[in-house]
Amino acid sequence: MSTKVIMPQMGESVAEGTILKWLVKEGEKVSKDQSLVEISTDKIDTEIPSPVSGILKKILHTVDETVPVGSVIAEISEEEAGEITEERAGEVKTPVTEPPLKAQVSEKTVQEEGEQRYSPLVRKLAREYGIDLKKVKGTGIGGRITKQDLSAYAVPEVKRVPEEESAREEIIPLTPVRRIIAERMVQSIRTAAHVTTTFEVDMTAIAKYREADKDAVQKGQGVHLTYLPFIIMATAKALRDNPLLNSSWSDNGIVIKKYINIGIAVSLGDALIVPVIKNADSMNLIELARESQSLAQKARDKKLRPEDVQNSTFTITNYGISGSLFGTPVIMPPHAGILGIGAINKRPVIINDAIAIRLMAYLSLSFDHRITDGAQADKFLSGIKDILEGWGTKSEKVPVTETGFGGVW
Amino acid sequence: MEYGRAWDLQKRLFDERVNNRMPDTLIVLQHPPTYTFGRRSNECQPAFNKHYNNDIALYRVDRGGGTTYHGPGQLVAYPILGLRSYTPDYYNYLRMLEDVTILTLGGYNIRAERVRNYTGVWVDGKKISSIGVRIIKGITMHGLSLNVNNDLSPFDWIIPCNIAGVVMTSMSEILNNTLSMQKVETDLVNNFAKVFDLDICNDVQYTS
Repeated sequence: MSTKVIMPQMGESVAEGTILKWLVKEGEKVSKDQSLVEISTDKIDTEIPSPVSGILKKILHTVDETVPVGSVIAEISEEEAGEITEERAGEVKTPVTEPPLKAQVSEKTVQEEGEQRYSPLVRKLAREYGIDLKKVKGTGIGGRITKQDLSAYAVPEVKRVPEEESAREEIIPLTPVRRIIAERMVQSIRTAAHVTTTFEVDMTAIAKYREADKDAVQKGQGVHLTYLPFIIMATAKALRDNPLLNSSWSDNGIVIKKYINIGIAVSLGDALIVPVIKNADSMNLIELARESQSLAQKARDKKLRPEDVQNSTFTITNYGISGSLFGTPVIMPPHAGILGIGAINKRPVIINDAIAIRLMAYLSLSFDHRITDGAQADKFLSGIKDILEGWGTKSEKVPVTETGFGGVW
Repeated sequence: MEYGRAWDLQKRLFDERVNNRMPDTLIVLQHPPTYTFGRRSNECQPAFNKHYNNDIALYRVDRGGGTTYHGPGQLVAYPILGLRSYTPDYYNYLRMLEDVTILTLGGYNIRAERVRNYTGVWVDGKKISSIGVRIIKGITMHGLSLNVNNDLSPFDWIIPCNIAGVVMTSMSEILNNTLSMQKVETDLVNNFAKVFDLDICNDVQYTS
């Protein structure tokens, strides 16, 4: 029997490789894992190991030829009997085999369960549209997923609407992103016991601090200092003090995450994506500002990498930018909570029995009542409030009266 | 360290790593003036052929990428890693190496970026860091270079990385200041640990 050696997929963005040098001649013996051929792409040199022991029967592409990923570049005829069991075991970790014989098909399925192979195009599309390839049925050779399979999965056939209705109604086909958002949100509502609690927070101290520093920060650090990094910082601190909010539910128990990775919801017009600030509790204000802005920019430019959106432990959503005062955000599974930031507006506030003008915002926390109860959730939220209101005065609260700011009516 | 000796060291450590006798290792060093030609080097380098006068060592090496120059004041990092534990994607590895440099430059308030389809790190359209690697049996060798204080003129006689008309720059050129190699090295190593999510154990000094 013979085994085909194919040009391996070296990276998602690589479509071809150039043959540099054959290390084995036609007719020569090779052993499994022995280097067969040196190949190169623009920045990487590598060698392809032989998938099996046998004799190099045929070289299909010669030196300096540039060959697309997935093409067969050589054939090896395997030695009979003896070592076969060993080879089979080895195949699992060698991604370059393509045993052509039907007898091996069952083994192949086993091999690929763990690590299915996809074409670069399919991977790219799946990543762009956030499709889980495991859920897509492949109709290509050997059950491979093709581009058509992806679009069939993403946009299933729209059922015909009776003629008279179609004039007055219109169907917008579901994009893959829409579908995923829908799936996740329904899953969240179905599993987490949502409760939303709202605190009103005086942002005046933050505003002052921000006013004083933002030009210097813009000039020196090249970042625009918004309210968001302050809130991320306060949230990270409060999560550290209230680990139950930085956890997920599992049937075996509540999984407390020892790392604080805060996802920030970014609206992309027709979709929503949540890039993640890793280890947010170890970052200073400028780092948080820079990281949140760069992630938001990457999200808009569609340049987020998978690791940029993975492993978040808590979410912040800033619907205040679109004017909303407060909301009841839906928890992103498997988190224990999500913090919503309302619009920051000047409002008349009673301080010491007088009416003052203060910059106020409603912060709403939706939490999973399976994991924690109202009292702890409120403790967490009031922790955030205390940090924000006491900004610049360390642990002190904002002074009760303020004469230099706003006015007393 | 002289390029040939460093190359031998790399090959030795590479073999050790392939045979699992050594953990993942990062070599950071500087070379005396050396030109290296990668597998993809353009043979036609007219300026080079005209000006080359044996003052600078010359090596034809087994890495991807084109021609480059190494010299004192340039930091060179050669990770010898089992790549699969970090990423299955060879090209993502290049992106990770770029991240290491971008983060390091960020620490000096230099805003560096990637340029699509041109591996390496760029500052205002000039190239500051080059990358060329070899990955065999899932183990990496060769790596990246970062221009810190080095003389940039030797780049004039070659076509660096096969990019015609590319202009090279360095940290000292951008900051108008000579930097501490020791500090940049420490920063680079720390950022490497950050990007690859590693703990760096004590420096192992190489003595021949």
